[in-house]
Amino acid sequence: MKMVNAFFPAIINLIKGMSVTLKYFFRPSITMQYPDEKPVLTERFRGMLFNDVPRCISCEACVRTCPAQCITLEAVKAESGRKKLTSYVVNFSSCMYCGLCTEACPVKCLSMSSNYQTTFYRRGEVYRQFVTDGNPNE
Amino acid sequence: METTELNNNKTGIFGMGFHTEEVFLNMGPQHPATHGVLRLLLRMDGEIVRDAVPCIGYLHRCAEKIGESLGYVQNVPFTDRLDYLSSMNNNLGYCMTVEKLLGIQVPARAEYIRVIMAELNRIASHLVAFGTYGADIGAVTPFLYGFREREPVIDLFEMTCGARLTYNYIRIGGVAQDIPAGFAEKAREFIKYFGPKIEEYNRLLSDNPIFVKRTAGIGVLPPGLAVNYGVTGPSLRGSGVARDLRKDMPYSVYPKFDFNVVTGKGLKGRTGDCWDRYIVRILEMAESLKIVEQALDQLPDGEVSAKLPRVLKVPQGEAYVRTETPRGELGFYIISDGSNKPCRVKIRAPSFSNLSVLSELCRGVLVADVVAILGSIDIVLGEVDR
Repeated sequence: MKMVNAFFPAIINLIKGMSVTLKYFFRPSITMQYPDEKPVLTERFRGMLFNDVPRCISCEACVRTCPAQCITLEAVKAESGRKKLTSYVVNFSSCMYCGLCTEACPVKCLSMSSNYQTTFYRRGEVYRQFVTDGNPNE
Repeated sequence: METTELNNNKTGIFGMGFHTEEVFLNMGPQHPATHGVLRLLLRMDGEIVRDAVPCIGYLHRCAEKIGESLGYVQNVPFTDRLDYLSSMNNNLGYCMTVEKLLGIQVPARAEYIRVIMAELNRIASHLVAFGTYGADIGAVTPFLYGFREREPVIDLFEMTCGARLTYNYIRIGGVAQDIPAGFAEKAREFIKYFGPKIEEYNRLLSDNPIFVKRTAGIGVLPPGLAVNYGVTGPSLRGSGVARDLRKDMPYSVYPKFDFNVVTGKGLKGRTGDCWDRYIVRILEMAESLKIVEQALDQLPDGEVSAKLPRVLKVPQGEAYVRTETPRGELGFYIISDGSNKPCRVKIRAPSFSNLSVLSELCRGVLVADVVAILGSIDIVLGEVDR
């Protein structure tokens, strides 16, 4: 008898709950069909790190500030007396996208791009080299 | 603990006076209802849990040790990863501790932005708690609803700091950057949109008799026991103890806002049961909305960060600051030896203390109730293990 008494209020409340879902059933869907539809990213979005190599002064501020120690750079002194970048490697397997390096950069050549698709085919690709033979990579 | 007919020691199962052999049941760490990687060792007498021992450490990432090996500023992104559902609140606690050591004053605008972010994050965190609790009990719909409403909050964070989970936004001396144009309008839009949703949640889940049957009167946590175990946050307030650090020991600009401390009243069962802990979170979201609205109205102009030297050297000393996160009282204890790295960072994680009471609550309940009790405590394993 106790179960029967509990049965009807449960059904009524179930319908009450269902009315909430029914309301949304007739509303337009808000699900984003991801690979076909891409999200609109905001201006400040923190994606993969990008170094605009020609502007880089090799000051190593980013290397010192990185909490995960994922940036390594090498530079030589050019004839003009300025440092020239020979290697700039970011290990994306340990980068945690905190953005502290971009804030530390004095010339603001470092930026967080809007690329969030960080997948690689081979393990070596997680080390991204920004410079080859003194020239910036594409 | 409630003594039902089933778990009465004298009569045993079905009153026939015999007991089954005790069995050890392993629950987790891959169990979906353990909210991450918690392992529970259950000593079972038939269906009745005689003892429940939480086994932790599967998500231990040496957060405190990392704190000692990195500089003060570099530590902020690691505090994101303690309680990953409320990163803003963790940032706030850590930064306030370092600021106390440095003895610096945070600009007024930064304080207001911090409070707005912390309260929005509280809403986002409680929405996950609401959704996953429904899913634990067996109602999948609230989970989708909770995550749907969480999305605009996460979008607000994304447009402010660029990240959707690990924000690294609140910094020592203020915040990373000013709120972008259009943030206040979007936030007000969210407040207008979210207010009526709470009523919808009640219709959907809180008043549902099946849900009430599963949670009311289950896992009753008496206030005395809760205080003895150091339980804080909504779990403590669910037991009827009106303790909220935002009111009791106001920090930042919280004294300027008008909001209530929600406590459990035992409306469906007994005070301090699972339903009370759950409803405190639902009602707290409305209080957080009130704070966000007031903070947006009063938001002053000015700087968002105090002037700090490039290499941060903190004077010798020690500081302990506690803040109210969505899960309870988060404390950071930092000892400085005068160098650019902390000498010791101790984190008092609310989830860890709240989890310790689980063995008491689970004595003499059914296995299905263990899931209900665990969900009502709302732990985040990233914080328990640190």
